[in-house]
Amino acid sequence: MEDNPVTREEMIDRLRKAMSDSSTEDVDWDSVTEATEIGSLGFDSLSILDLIYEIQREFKIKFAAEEIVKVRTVGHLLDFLQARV
Amino acid sequence: MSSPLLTLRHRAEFAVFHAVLRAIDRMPVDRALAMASRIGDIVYALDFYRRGVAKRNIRLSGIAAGRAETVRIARASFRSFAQLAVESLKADDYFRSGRWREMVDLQIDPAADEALKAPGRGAILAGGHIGNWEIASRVLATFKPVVGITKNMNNPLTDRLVKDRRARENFTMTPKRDADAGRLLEVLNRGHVLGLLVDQHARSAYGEPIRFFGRHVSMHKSAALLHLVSGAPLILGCCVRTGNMKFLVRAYPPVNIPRSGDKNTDVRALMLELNSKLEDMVREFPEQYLWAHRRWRPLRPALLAKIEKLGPGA
Repeated sequence: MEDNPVTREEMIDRLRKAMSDSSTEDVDWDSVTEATEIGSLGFDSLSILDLIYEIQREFKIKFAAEEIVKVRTVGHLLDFLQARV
Repeated sequence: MSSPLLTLRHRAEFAVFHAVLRAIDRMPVDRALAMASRIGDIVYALDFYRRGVAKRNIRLSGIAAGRAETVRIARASFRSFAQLAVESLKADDYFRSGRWREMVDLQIDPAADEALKAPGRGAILAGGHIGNWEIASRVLATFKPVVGITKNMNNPLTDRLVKDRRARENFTMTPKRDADAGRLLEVLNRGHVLGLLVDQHARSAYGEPIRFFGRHVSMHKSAALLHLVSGAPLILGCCVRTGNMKFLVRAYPPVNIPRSGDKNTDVRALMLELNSKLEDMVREFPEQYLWAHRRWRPLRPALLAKIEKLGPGA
């Protein structure tokens, strides 16, 4: 039996959760789309670490933390994650 | 220089600061250090506020047997800070000429030594405001490039001068706040050492309530989180003064705690371990700790709620 592939919409929902768990900013996470710039979500040098930890936990994947910090938009982050899930 | 933001006060401060630096540069070491001790005594006598903070912190830590001991440690701490400034300036010659081993004894744990010298492998060196953390960074920078975190000074003129004096080969500074959120991870990715002072009060929402000498402080999570997400070894170290221009640089074994899989549990365990080792250092060298820093400040309601939620063992 084949595994059901995770849809992009499911992934963005899980990503929104990981982001809201790690951010201390007051953001309307439902309005976050693939075009949203990650830099506009208020992550700083510490909360980005929280986010990386949450992503590694949520998607059960390991990657070198520095690979993710140059990703600019939520859509690019989804691409990054889809290639590894 | 013509910025309207530069006030007369900035310029006056800069002029005095610059003159003092030049005087120290020209003075023989022993004389400069004797002057530093006197300045430490004068500041201790005149700065009621910081003297009070230092004495209160020493009392709260429980390391002094009584009032006389508290006063002795507090005064020595002020002298130590003044000596730090002078010795950091005077150390330039030793490092530039490669003679730094004449003034430094190394006591580096073998596993820490391997981690700090491994080519291409980043490491996190955590320390506290004890002894001479400037010399510690420069010794480390002889192993591999070191990046420290700095906060801008209020006076832009003195800030520029201090940064120019601090900028040296293999030792660079990155601002405490910066738009590039990933820069700390990039430091580790480049195989450099990231130096962090972990005993500062955390004002932001990222402070974690951790006990230091039995009382809760708001502590930065950076070192622990960086270690968890990057896997870079986390090493605690210090550089203490053993005489005029003589130092002992010590690095402890890399912090190694069993992982629970829960971020908050693991972050707290790492922070407790760092604080516990830092307490040991302070007990061993209490006169060289910066007691005038307000470590035990009133905690924000969110942190008090967290302590209550964590229960009596927190």
